[in-house]
Amino acid sequence: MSRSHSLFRACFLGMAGLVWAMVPAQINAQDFAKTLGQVAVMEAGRIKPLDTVARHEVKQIYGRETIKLTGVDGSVSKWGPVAAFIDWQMPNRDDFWDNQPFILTEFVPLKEKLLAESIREALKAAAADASTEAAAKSALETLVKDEIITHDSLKNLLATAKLPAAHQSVLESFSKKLDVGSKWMTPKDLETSKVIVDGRSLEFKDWFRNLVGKKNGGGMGGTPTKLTEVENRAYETGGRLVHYTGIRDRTGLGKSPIFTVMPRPSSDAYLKFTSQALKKAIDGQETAMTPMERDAAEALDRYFEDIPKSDRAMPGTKPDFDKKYSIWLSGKSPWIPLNTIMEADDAELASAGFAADKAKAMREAFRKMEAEAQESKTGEISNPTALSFSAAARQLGEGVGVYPSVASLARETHFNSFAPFFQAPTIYGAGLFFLLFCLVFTGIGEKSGGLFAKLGKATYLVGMAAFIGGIAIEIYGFYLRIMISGWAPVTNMYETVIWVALVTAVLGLALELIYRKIYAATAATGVALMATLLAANVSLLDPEIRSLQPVLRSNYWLTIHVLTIVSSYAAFALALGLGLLATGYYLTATYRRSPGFVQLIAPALAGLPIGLFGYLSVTGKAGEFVTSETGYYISFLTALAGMMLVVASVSSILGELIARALFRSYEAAGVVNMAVEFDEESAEAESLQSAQAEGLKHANAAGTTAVMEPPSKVVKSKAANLVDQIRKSSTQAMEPTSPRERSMMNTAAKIKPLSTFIYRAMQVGVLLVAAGTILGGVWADYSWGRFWGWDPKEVWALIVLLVYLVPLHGRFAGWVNTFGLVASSVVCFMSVMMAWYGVNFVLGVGLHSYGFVEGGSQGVVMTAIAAVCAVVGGAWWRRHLGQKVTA
Amino acid sequence: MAKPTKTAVFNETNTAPELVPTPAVQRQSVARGVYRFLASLKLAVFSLSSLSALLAYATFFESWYGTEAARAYVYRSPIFYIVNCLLFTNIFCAATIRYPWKKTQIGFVITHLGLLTLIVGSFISQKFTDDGQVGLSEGESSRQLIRTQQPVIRVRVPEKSDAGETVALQEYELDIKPGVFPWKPGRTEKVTRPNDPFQFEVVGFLPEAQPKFAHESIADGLPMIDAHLLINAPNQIEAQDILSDSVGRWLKADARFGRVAQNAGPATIAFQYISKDDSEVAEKVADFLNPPKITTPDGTARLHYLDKTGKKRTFDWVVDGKPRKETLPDSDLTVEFLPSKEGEIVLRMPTRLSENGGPGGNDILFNATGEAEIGIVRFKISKGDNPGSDHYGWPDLVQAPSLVPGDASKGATQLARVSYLRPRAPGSFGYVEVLGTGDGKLYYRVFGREGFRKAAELKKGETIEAFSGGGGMAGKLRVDDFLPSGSEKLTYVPANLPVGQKGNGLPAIQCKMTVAGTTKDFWVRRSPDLKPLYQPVRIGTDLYEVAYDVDRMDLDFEIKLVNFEAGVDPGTEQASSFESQIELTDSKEKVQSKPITISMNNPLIWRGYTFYQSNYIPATDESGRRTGDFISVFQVRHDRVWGITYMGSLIIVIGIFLQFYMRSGAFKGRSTKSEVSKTAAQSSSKRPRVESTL
Repeated sequence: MSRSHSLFRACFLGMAGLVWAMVPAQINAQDFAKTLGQVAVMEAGRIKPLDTVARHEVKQIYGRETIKLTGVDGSVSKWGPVAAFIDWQMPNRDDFWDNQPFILTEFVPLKEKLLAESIREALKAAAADASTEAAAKSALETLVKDEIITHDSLKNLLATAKLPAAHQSVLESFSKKLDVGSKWMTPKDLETSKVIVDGRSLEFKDWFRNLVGKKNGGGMGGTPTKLTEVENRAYETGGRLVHYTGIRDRTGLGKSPIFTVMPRPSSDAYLKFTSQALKKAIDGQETAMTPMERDAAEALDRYFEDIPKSDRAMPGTKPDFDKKYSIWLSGKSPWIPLNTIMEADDAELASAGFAADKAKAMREAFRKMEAEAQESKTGEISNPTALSFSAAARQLGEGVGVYPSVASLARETHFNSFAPFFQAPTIYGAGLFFLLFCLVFTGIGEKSGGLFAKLGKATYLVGMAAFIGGIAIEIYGFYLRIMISGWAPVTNMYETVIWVALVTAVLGLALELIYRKIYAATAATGVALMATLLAANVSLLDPEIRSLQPVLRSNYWLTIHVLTIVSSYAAFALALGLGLLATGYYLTATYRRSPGFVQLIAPALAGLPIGLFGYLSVTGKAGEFVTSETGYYISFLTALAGMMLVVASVSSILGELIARALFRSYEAAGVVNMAVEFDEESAEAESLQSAQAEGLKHANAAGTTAVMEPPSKVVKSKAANLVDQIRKSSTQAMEPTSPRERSMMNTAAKIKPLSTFIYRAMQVGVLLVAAGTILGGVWADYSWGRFWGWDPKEVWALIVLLVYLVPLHGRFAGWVNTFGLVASSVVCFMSVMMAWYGVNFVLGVGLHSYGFVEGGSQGVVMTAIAAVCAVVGGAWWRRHLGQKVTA
Repeated sequence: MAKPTKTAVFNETNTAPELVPTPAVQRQSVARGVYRFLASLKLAVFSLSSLSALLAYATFFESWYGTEAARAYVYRSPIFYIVNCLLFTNIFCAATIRYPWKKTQIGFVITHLGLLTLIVGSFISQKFTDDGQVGLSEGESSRQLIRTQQPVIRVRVPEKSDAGETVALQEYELDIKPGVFPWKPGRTEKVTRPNDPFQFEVVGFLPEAQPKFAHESIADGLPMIDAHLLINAPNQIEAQDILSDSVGRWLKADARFGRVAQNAGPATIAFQYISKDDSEVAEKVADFLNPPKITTPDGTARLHYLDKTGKKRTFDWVVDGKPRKETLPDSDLTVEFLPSKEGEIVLRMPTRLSENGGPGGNDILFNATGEAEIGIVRFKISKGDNPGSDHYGWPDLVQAPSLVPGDASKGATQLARVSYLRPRAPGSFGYVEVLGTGDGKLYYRVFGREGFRKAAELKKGETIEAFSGGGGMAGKLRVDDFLPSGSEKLTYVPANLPVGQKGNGLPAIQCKMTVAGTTKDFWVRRSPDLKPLYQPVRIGTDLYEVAYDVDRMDLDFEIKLVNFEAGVDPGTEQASSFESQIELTDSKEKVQSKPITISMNNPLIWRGYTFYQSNYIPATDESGRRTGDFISVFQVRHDRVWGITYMGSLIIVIGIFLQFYMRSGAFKGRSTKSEVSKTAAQSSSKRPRVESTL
């Protein structure tokens, strides 16, 4: 009774928390930025609010969405993405921005390379200065000769040598720039920086251009070359600089403008304008063309590329062509950049089919924005001016073509600022925190009751509230995302990850509501936290809403097939979460005997040298062991195996320590004084048992001891077990006889429902993955003419199904006991990882290249998976030792 | 309930065979034991595991060697069939051994029945399904299915009339199954029958081939060098070889002038060859290393003559356009410079015969000089009081005779040899010349913008700083090989495709074709589009045509691509949709030009054939600009047994559904009937089973 009440309360709290979270977080009340953020632009084939573009660009350049600058006086100013994006391109504001460190350049060796020449010059200047002391001079001259001038060496010099004040301050500023703490460089630093590459002195932008060529194979059909670490970082930083200068100079990136604000007119006037522009281009008067004319001619040119020569015509000459071209213009043509409109004059805009007064209003509004930005020292624009620009743009845009509604733009900016999927980890995290405490408190409360039991209840309530809040915020996020993109949110890796988080949470909640055990909720929260955390932080997972591949543009199939498959991953993920929770219990369980630490440490003793050997050969420190790719992989796997042994051993030792501490409390508690909570718990465990799958029940019934032991021990332990049973049933006693047995029983009572949940989750997963695979076949048959084509993604979906069928059948066969089920829930998840991530990043990119760190960070993922499996191994090792009958 | 003993026995033995062996068990025949084993869950676990492992291996195999390899070596391998058979038998026995089925087992039985159907269906469809491709450009029609997985060699043999004229080509289709891996050296396969008019042998196969030229010395070949011009553009770190591409082209001098010149971006490189037979090799080499000084825009001519004592002498004539007459030192040779008939100093001669340069060596002069127009100087040289004859000085072309051959036949004699050097066009950054002589020696000289720069002997593999400075531009010359008489032959080498594109390369075969005792060894590669590309092969006097093609299956109907449209997201290259409008003509079904649209997720199904839009290729012109025309590629599949697969799937879904809702009765029977376990379960349900759970 009290539990269902508390769940209601948790729901209520969760909702309340969500409402609280939905109050938009205010960053630096820049109202004009908020207004301008809702101006519609077209980028990467989609119409979106400027807010989205600005966030993307600023994040690309600065690394975060909000720029934080520290002034000379130590004052801190913050720039929201839109404010920065707008201010960058305002006239004369480059004086300010070019000298602000905001181009992300984190990698210290790169900074050293970029600044080396400037520092050398400064050092030489200081050495050449007559007022510099002789001792300092020689120190300066030695430093100049250093191949790499590091932050430390420069700092050392400044601390020891006495330099004239002017030089001191110059060098100090360099020292500051080299510091690990300064992650950003100014555009000016980068643009003026000279680097020595292969003995040649190059400007940074030329170096960058070379790197682009190198990475893309030189553009002459050559093969792409792998860049070194420094080159890679320079490539990234160069890209950031190019983005910034593209915005600053209003040139965009190559051929793609960034700030395209206006739909293209499709009226007869525009066709006439286009044909005049085209005539100019044909007559070779290209230099005499206005930006607007060039833009119109380019749009036509783009259209020409898609239609055969015979269909091409000068606009205004063939009605049939005009009709088709107008349709393309209004629906499929790229928008016109703001800069093009600003560079045109009113008359020209009118001749291109824009309403003259509206065009004038918009241009004036923008001019006013420019003027205001220039006048104010901080680049601030008043909100009314921004409002008038945004309104004028809307009026002009609505007049010429399809312009998005205020609501749809507002929805997306809200989605951006509210960022439900970025908030979800915090909420799930809070949930997990409280639920784990609840587990501990109730665990203690079982024995001591009183305060801990109450604390357990309270934390349960809060944890569940956060859990439900997390689900609610994700559902809300998905609602927004679907409204924005227009299709089911499972079209890329990022979306599948957050979707798995949601489905796992919902499944967990369902189990929780049915069975009222805290385990399902805890495991689901853990999985959801993990997934949302990864989605928010792994750069591989791109949260951008992008356009879709043609084959996916079938909402019906996409929804049915992909949702089913991805939901099956969620079910398996829940099983994994539960399995890990159960593994935790196994690790800390009391067994028939307490294994000695010497035995527990044995795997680590074996694993250390193996792992060390593997590690040394991978890193090349062990000499020239690894010369071939195969050698590299073998070394990597050796290192991994060693690490797994160590992790297993360490986790088993930690488990043993906790188990001994817990066991002591049992010993202290004695035989009596059973907590009320515990009775409830065990009663529930029993009712649960009857609700369990029949197979499970049976498997746990007679004969299971035999099942879990190797055949040679069967007879012996079977006999022991029978004696044990007879003794127990004859006494009819509920209370265990010894503290050890009670402790064992207590853990068993916890693991039992967990194993039921795992079993259920696996069943749901198998059902979903089977259905999803078959549906995929039907879709493939329908759209590709074949039901099954042995495509790796298809095959891996099938493997997932087969792999999970193994423990499910194995359990019936008696080969898989409860521990086996728990372990398989973790181990089998590797097949899901492979189907989900591996097909794209291991099979796709290739085990072939030395690609463990590139692209999908295969090495990191493999290590993480291995570590998790190793913990299960540790649990097994401890259990194996603990169950050995000593006497 | 009908056969309680049997069920009980099965269950007992299945859970724990070691336990309480009843006499019934001991009396079971071997066959029964096998049956039980085949129906056992343990076998299920084993076959599921091995199938998963095999499939997982297959996907890795595919990423290493390509889709076709995975198909040939895993999915169609005996072991794959064996594992599937095992699984099939296991499922079958597991279902039958439980007969008669109880109500609760319905779900289980149906699921496993569905699985059986699916496995059978997959097997049949793998055996009896046809698939292929149709690629059409707009306006084109086809009634052929192309089966890319079944290569054939097509040979066209000329049929001769009695007069020996070729009247027709007889086509032979030769089947070959080269597999998916490159052939090991030494493997050969004869693909013709003994009484075919020619013998055809395949001696090499590359599944993914890229062209490469092979060079070897032959008796009557052309002089050629493997030259590399490594240029560093300003601010470019890595030097680029602007001469050799991945195919490895060499500079081949032509037979007439022994010279070739190639404009390569900022510089021009020329290769001149002087054969051993040339009587003036030494003079020409000296001339090359020590060119005349250029002081006027029209250059300097060098006259080689014999003085009164019979000694070889040279005289440098600065061409300044002034008509003058001079007697060569120590000789009785009088030289008079003659301007052109139009009054220009030099005779201007275009090197290209056609505007764009025709094929087949029409532009020998252009190929030899690398210039669109050359200027020729003319001298009238007379000896004593003889009237004398016109001598010409050709720029760069040292093999060109100074005396017009026609004049020589009329009795005129060559009194001096004229070589002529003009300043280079001002746009050219550098002009590098390599001279090779019949005895295998190499020389080089470099002209920069300012004129002659340096000259010396060149050793193979030696890198020469050809030019440097000047805005950071630097150029290096290296000649790796020199064949005074060599041949260039097109061969193929394995293409190293990136992972993920494995299997997308074009295969090539090396073959030997023998006609009437003459054997020719050559390579043929499949064409990148889906049309057969015939390669001419000359054997004796006859021209044969050979193509490495794929099997083509005739369809009963015709499809014509009327229009193809590709939509992209505005302002991007990302395709948003593509669709083909086709017309279907099938006389059998009395359908004439029926308009149909095929697009993604919307295939055409006609008489059992499914045409789905798989790909499209935008056509481009020479400059790489898209022409707006497209080739639309359809994947075609003819699956006669699709119904079985669908039925199997449907049954499985129903089965799983039932199992879920009926709580999987498959394993229930034994637990409810086993009295021992029942009591044990009851007794143990009182308290958590510590041992079993932990």
